[in-house]
Amino acid sequence: MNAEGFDNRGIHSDVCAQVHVLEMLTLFWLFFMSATFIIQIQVPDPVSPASDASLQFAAEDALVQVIAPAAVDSANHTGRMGELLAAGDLDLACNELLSSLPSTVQGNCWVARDGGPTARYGGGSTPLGRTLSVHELVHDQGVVWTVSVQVWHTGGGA
Amino acid sequence: MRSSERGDTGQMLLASGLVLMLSLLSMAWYGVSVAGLGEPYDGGSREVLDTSRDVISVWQPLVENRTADLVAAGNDWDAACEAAALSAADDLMRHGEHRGVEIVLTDISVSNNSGVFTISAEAGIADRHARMEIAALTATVDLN
Repeated sequence: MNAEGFDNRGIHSDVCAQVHVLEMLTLFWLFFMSATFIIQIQVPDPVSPASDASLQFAAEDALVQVIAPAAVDSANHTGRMGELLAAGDLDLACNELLSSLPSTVQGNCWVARDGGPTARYGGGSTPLGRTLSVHELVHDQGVVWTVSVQVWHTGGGA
Repeated sequence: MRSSERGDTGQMLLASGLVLMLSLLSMAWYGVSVAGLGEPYDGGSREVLDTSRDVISVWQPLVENRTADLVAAGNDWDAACEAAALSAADDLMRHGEHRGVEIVLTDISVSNNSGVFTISAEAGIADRHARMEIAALTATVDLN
């Protein structure tokens, strides 16, 4: 005990204990980092959310560009897309849709009538890497069409 | 001498604290990068909202058109309305399967008020992210 009433030996041993704890943690860290260096686990970066979001926007914009315009026969059809689908021009409808995609994005177009299965129409190609699909429900003259566009990045572009 | 010892201990404590902070930071960074794997942006996270918008906008014209077709084909008005609603429900369910969303229309009812038919249904739309219930999906068909 000193003049102020503190036990210096007790404080000293506490500090030493703290230092030992920290030393052990430091050793653990060194062990951890050495292990990661030796094991060489390659942790890739996750796919950028912006990358997928830009794909989704590209597909949605393309769908809007084809679905939104008024039909030539606007008295009997809900829109340009519905008119083409009702006329059986599925390839033409899909090609218009795919041509609306940006130059750095390619896609495939899938169409299903009412409760039927989806089938691919229009030009298209084999997907490269990650793809993303956007769907739209198109109604025309009592028929519901499921129009799906599957898109992926091709890289490049301005 | 005692002052020197205390100074050394303090420096060691400070250095150890810095190393500890660095170790925690590096481990946290590593842990976050590992935990972030397999969780990329999911474009279908708002699919329930988009699907419900489509179902609501399509229900009225779809049932109306199909009822008109069935009536024109010689069906009874009540039967035409009911058949139109049931077929629309089936087709919407198939549409949901294509886009990975479950669309179930239940409690389909047809009421007649002097030739003005009201076709009501309850819609449940769900996927792995969300579930939505539309309590009153109604279409009005005037067959007069």
